[in-house]
Amino acid sequence: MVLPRSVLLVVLALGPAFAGPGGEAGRYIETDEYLRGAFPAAVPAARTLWVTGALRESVEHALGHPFKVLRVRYWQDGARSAWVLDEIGKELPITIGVTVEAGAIANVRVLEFRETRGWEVRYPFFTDQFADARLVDAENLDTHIDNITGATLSVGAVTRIARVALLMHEHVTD
Amino acid sequence: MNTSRTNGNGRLNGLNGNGRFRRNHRWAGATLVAFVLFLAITGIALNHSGDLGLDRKTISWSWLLEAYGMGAPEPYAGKASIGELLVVGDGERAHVLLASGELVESLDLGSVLPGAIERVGRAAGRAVLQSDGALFRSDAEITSFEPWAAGAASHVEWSPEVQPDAPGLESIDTAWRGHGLTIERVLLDLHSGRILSLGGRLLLDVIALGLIVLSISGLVLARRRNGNGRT
Repeated sequence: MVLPRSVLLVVLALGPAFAGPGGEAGRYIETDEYLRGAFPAAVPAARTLWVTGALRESVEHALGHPFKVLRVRYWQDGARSAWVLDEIGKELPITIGVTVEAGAIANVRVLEFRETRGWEVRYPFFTDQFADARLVDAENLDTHIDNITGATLSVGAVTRIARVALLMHEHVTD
Repeated sequence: MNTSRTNGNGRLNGLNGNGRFRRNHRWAGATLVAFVLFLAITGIALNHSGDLGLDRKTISWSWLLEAYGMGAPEPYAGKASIGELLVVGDGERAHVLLASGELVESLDLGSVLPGAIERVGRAAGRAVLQSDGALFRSDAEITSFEPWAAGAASHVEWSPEVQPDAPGLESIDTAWRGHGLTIERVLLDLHSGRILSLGGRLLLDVIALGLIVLSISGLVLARRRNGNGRT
């Protein structure tokens, strides 16, 4: 049986839409681009923070699981700091950028999403909820973050990393 | 050929119109029955995924793992011991580990390197990476890499490739490759159509619309049948 040409054209046109389970995942913002947005005047040199002792305990308390690395990278200019951290949502890490100004979140952006579900957390309607959020304690922000149906684990991962960035900002600016 | 007939009032002849309607209804039902069975079976399995352990059992089919971006990891480009630290090249990342195997940091070098890391080596107490033929050298604490133009004239001790399951590198796997693909995840993506990305969801939308139309056409047929005095 020969398929009509119109059917073949439709199949070819829809091909990318059937690309597979990883279709929505990807790198959305390069780290450099994120940092240029966080520090429009000039991106400061990267610093490193060893996550040990009491800080490690607080971070693991905020995460609810062991922190997988000993050292993290951050960028600081006065009371403003930016953090690029990874956290597993369900199966694979999400790379998240968090900028903190004077103890409150200035912005949160999902830089890279590797899983097949929950990528909706990349959109501003979700990340804008973190603006001006502050820590109440290691487990709570002073702002309620609405869940996204079908993206609960990703929402949890971004929220945990927001808390961790605030904790680390407190640590380096104290 | 026009097969429709009208009676004296200009209305469609009941038998022909009804026959075509019934035939279309039957054809649509036969087409959708496979999808209904598929949705019902995956739905039941998801409803009991905890009891069946589907949220813990993982799938190891390589083609499916590849589709999810969780395929068997490529061999690492190499590793180099620098003092108490170990540097492992993996794509555009350099993992830094302690000799004990603890992961210190995974450096994202995507904005520094022109491509994936090809080779890892060491020279004069610094880690050296080769990417797209160019050399990059670390600082003493291995917190960053910079282009190393003078590297071509230097002696670099290059490492061979390293298998991901090599002893001492387990912490990279834990941090970056997660815990595997569960049957529940695949069933959820099948049930929702996400397994085929946007097209899959649109396909499921079309099937759902088809079921709505089928329900209505079934009710219409039943009513006509009852209207004709048949049960």
